[in-house]
Amino acid sequence: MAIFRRELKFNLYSLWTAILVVFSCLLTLSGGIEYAAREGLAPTAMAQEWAHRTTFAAVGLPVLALTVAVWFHASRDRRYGSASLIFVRPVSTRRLVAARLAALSAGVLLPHLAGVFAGVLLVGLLKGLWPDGGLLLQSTVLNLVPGLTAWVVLAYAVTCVLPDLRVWVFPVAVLWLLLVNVPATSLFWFYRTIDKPLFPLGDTKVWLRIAYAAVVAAAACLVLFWTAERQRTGCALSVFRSTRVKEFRVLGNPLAGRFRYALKTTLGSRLPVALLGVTGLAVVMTSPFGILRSQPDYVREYFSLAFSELLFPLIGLLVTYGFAADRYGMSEIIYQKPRGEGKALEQKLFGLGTYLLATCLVYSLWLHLFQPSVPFVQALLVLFPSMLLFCGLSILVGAFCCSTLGAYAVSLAYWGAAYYLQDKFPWFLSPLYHLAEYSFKLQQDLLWQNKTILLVLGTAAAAVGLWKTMTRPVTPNE
Amino acid sequence: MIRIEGLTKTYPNGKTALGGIELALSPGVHGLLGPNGAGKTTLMRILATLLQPTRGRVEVFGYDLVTDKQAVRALLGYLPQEFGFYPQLTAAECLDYLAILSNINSAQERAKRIRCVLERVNLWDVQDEKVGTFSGGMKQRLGIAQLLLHDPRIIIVDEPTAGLDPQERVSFRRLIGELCETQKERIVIISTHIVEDLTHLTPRLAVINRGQLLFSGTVDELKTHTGSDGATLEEGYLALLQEG
Repeated sequence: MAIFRRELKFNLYSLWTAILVVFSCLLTLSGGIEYAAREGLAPTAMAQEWAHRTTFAAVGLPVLALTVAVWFHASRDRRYGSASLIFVRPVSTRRLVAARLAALSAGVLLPHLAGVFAGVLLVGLLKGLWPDGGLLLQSTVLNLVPGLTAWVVLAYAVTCVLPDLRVWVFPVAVLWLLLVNVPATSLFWFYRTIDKPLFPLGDTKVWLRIAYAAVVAAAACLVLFWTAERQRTGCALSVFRSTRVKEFRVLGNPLAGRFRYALKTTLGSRLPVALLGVTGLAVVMTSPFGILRSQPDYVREYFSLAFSELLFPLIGLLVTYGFAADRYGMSEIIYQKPRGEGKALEQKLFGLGTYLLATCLVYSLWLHLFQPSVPFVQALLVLFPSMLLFCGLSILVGAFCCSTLGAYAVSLAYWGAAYYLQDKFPWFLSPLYHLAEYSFKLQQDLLWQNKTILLVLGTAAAAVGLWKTMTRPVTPNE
Repeated sequence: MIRIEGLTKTYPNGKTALGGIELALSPGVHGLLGPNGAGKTTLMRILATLLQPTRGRVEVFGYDLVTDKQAVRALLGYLPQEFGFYPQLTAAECLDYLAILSNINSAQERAKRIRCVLERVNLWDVQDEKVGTFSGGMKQRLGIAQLLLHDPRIIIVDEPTAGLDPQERVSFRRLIGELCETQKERIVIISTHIVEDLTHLTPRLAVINRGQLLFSGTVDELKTHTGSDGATLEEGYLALLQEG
């Protein structure tokens, strides 16, 4: 209990507590005000739906902030170098992890739920829209709490296994999309997806989802205990290391060697993970076992392309950001080799090209196989320019500002601008062209014009970013 | 032979890092001594072809450093002050990659040289381990191994002993001595602010401060700057800085 109390105090005495309360409150408030403005609905029906929508608002964007808060709290040991101080405490690993997990869950869920209920209260006071009390209680207890707890445990487990933010973001994004944001496998239910929205307590689907959340949480707990035990005994992740001494050999062909090492140094294990993610998404979306299996063809075409345009450029942004930044401090050694600048550029271009082509080709191929009505070339041409633009942007950001936060800021700013400006400038829609439903239905003719612009801009951004990177060591601005 | 004539480097913010350096370096070990911010790293980076001089000329074994950059690069091995290695590669893979980039195309030749340099820096036993698991001293030794790969005629090392423990420092000094014995034509330039390193390594050194060459000569000549017999190199160096 002492560990729990101290950890909880640490977690709550943080700026993130205020951020979570304000963020959750504002988004619930905004959702409530928007819903209250609807006309033609009976007050009882509105109260019932608002009770459900409250929890829906709570698992939207605020969960992203909650996830970041989990990473922030969980990475405290690494930032302050306090892990060894904690692990030497005379407590069993199981109790230590349980106490820390409980403190972390409470430390992020309490502010989040407080923000949600503050938002509900404000909506009631400002707009007179009050949720149905019974339904709100049921949706909170049966939906919000188990779902969010499972997500927090899962995010905590991923943070412990992969503490580096750059490595951590990708698996968390994939888990988010697979476990949370895909309705059929959601940790969170929404009133339209259950059979008895007015009596969730008696709905089998609700209990099944609670069981699902419990299974996810239990699996994450096991990973957490295992990781903590290994960290405590000083052999973290050593199971992945082969004890067999590899035979020493060099690569035969120097050109093949250059390309192989270029791939290994720029992408490394991120390429198979990205390809696995692409394949997984294609299977989840369009395969005969996927969530869209019972949907009409046009819906499957629309979602499979739209979703890929949403997810892949974002991942591409994170993967290619490091191409410009000299993360490992190798640039001076490489540049100093004969024609070193050219060889370094070749290395980066090869990594970028391989990533772009491999990801787009694999996804387009899967898409065409599972959904033959989508031509392979069309899928490739829809996806490639969007990804190129984001990769180009990330290289540009990496070359000029050398900060991971810059890449995220540019990504968010671009998406925000594209969303708000797409009415005024339809020729420059966001890469999420297909997600804008009206564009999909009404402006199909603008698709290729948009893609051509993205292709040109993406190439230009990548070229400027790489040029800046390559000229940096010998520039007079040094 | 390296000839440096009127070498000046002025940065766009107006700061002059080097102001008309004149220096001639013959085969052997040369120390470059100076306090932090004296301009040592700027000089090293210019010699390593990573930075363009503002004015002046540098001739390296008959090649002009600016116009014949690629030819000069083929002759030199450089270890920067701050560097890293790809953590996902093993020590042998790292060296294989850098050997390929140094235009050593024959696989047999590469294998031979990698083994030779790894044995020389005592890293052969960990050749199959990822560089990410290496300690600071091991990375420094791997850095030295990479610059020896193509048997360069000029070796430029910037603050090489920083982060090494006493035993590794002694090994490093011995290694530098061997390098000059195996090739009499080789020029080794060591930049440092640790005076003790140079007392064991070289009889010849240059001292720079605030971008100006204060001294070029032998260790014994520098010692005489104190004006007293039996002075140490450190005392001579400090006396010179005070004069400058």
